[in-house]
Amino acid sequence: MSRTQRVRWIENAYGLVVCVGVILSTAQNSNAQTSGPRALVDPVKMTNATAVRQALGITPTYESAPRLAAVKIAVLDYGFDASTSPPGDLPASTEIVEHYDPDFVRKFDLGDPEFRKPFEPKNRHGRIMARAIWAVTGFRSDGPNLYLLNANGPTMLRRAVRFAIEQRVDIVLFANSFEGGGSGDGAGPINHVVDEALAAKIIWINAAGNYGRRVYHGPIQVLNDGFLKLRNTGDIAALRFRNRAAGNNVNITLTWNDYRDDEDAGTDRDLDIYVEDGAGRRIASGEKVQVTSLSTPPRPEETLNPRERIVLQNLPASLDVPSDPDYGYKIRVKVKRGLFSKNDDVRILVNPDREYYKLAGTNAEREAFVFLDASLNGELYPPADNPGVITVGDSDPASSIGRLGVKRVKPEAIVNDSRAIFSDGETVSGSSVAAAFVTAAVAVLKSAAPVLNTRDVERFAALGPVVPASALKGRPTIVSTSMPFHLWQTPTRAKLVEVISLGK
Amino acid sequence: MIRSIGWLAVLALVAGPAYAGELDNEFGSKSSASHSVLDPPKIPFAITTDAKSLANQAPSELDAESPVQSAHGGGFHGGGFHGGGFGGGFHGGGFGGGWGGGHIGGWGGGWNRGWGGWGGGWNRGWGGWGGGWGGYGFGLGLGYGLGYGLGYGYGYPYYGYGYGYGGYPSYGYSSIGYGGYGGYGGYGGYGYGGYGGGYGGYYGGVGYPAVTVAYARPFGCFGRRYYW
Repeated sequence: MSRTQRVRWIENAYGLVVCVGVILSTAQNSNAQTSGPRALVDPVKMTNATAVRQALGITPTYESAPRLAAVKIAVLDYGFDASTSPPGDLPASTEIVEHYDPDFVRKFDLGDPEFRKPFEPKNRHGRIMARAIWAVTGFRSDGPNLYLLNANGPTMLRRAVRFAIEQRVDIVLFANSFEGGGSGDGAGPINHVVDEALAAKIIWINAAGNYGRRVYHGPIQVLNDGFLKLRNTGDIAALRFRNRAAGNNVNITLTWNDYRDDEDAGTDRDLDIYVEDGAGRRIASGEKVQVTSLSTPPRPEETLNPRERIVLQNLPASLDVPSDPDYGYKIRVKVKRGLFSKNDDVRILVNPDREYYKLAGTNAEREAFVFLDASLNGELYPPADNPGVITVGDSDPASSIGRLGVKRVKPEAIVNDSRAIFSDGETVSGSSVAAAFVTAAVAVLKSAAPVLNTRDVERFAALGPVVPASALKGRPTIVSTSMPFHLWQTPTRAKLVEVISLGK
Repeated sequence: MIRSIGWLAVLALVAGPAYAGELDNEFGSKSSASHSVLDPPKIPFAITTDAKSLANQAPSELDAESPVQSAHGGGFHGGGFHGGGFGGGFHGGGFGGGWGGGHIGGWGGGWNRGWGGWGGGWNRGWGGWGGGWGGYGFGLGLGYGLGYGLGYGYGYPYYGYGYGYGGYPSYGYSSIGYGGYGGYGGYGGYGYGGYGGGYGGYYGGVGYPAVTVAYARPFGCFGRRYYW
């Protein structure tokens, strides 16, 4: 090879190496960017656990909690996705159950053994609650024992409850509610399932739900034309709501007090629901036919449950007409079949996807949706309305409240600051997280006093500082001095022994 | 040099598609999911969702749906919190909630612990626990300072010894105060072991010595609790 040829060969080789190197480097960077941010190295953990433990009164009194490893907590949910965190975000002893063994299902008559409903992909709501529990109990490597159980629907809920009973779980956290599973009186098929757990002496802690100022709850009064009287002034047969954010999606759920303990028990009373725009034009209706038994084959318009539902998509913004307080969207309910009396009641839940929006040209946020005729009562959906569960809310106006009978209000406990801040930058709040915090506090108490039961926890909740009505941020409430709400405050050891001994 | 420039030209051509991926990321996908602000608002319409058609396998109407999760994502809004949502949000009516909106079928993965996990993989099986607590406390209540007593494991017959939990440290409003809180008795089979401990005196006085004899009776029998 001549000198010239050698030089040319070297030049070509050099150029080729540079070329390949740049391409590989670019591809690597491109892959990194198209696949998202750099993967987390450390497991996701709650970073404000110390502050939460102090605020709830867990520390310094229960700093050690030596028997926490013996406490069993079941988190019932359908979102336990772990893909966003390396392992180590929960105790090593955590057990997860997505599908229940068919023999187990058969033995306890928990429905068709072949029926399964999996976790929801990418949903990590339940996992976040479990992380919060572990954090607020102190990040101990040996516990508490966590069970993450699939409760995706009533059948899975029944299986999860039976599993928890058989595993002798101490505490269940259910940070969900069934909007169409009952009429808010503590009864119905969902509460019937929960009652099994309560009978097994499990302490059931439930999130109150986030339906604050979104529910109408009232007696059924039928007018001459069959429509229900829903108000006392103006258009008495209509409930009003205003949507300020164009393109909002709104779910409207109507239920009435015809639920039985069995699912799909059927009903012979039928109510229909209609929505009108500001001009009085009907834009939506819910007109399913309530039946006591389905036809063969079942017809799509039939339902066995006392409920109707409307989903309004891309709802235009309604105008504010100062001279007409009735102007806006309206909801009407009409009796289709059956006899109703004033001892019957109806609930209408109006739930927007978007709660806030920004005014054009500013950073100021404004409420996107206002339900003008919300009752500010009866906002609890099953099983948060079960008299045997500990219902937990937070101080946000969106947190549900309700009266159970004439002498009792729910939630039993309110957490003032329900924020859980995680190391991946996520912040979660709401009645779910508040319930997880209280679950952790109860677990610590249970470790100190294994005989702790639901009644004891109710007493502790009632001993917490009273929440003044003014502190429930901008909403008139059903609070009276005889039935106040209480902030959760973990009792001292002395109070723990005192209350437990009173109960024995 | 000309060859070097030639290779650089080749480089520019070949590296182009890699950069196109980045640009795609910047400007998003080209699906038609986005809604232009110039589009006229759509007339709302009712969806009378046919839950039955989505729940051919579901044993009940409610099983066609998922319960509604009660959390908000995001941060503060003024003095309170507002629903932000991540991945669709957890606020009411959001993620996986609603009738006919629940996800049926779908992802069949999971941890696979459920299968065989019950009565299988964890070596527990039917009929009770492996392990558990033995023990009962021996804590004597004499005010602060004695701390935990001599809890030791007595276990229950079929599962060997657990570890006991001693007396609970005692507190007092006077120098004597509460008696120690005894340990938790063990479980026996399906039975229930003894309850350890007693409560001491309340204000002042001598606390009950927190000594119990908790025993676990064999499988299928119930234990008894003793105090003295």
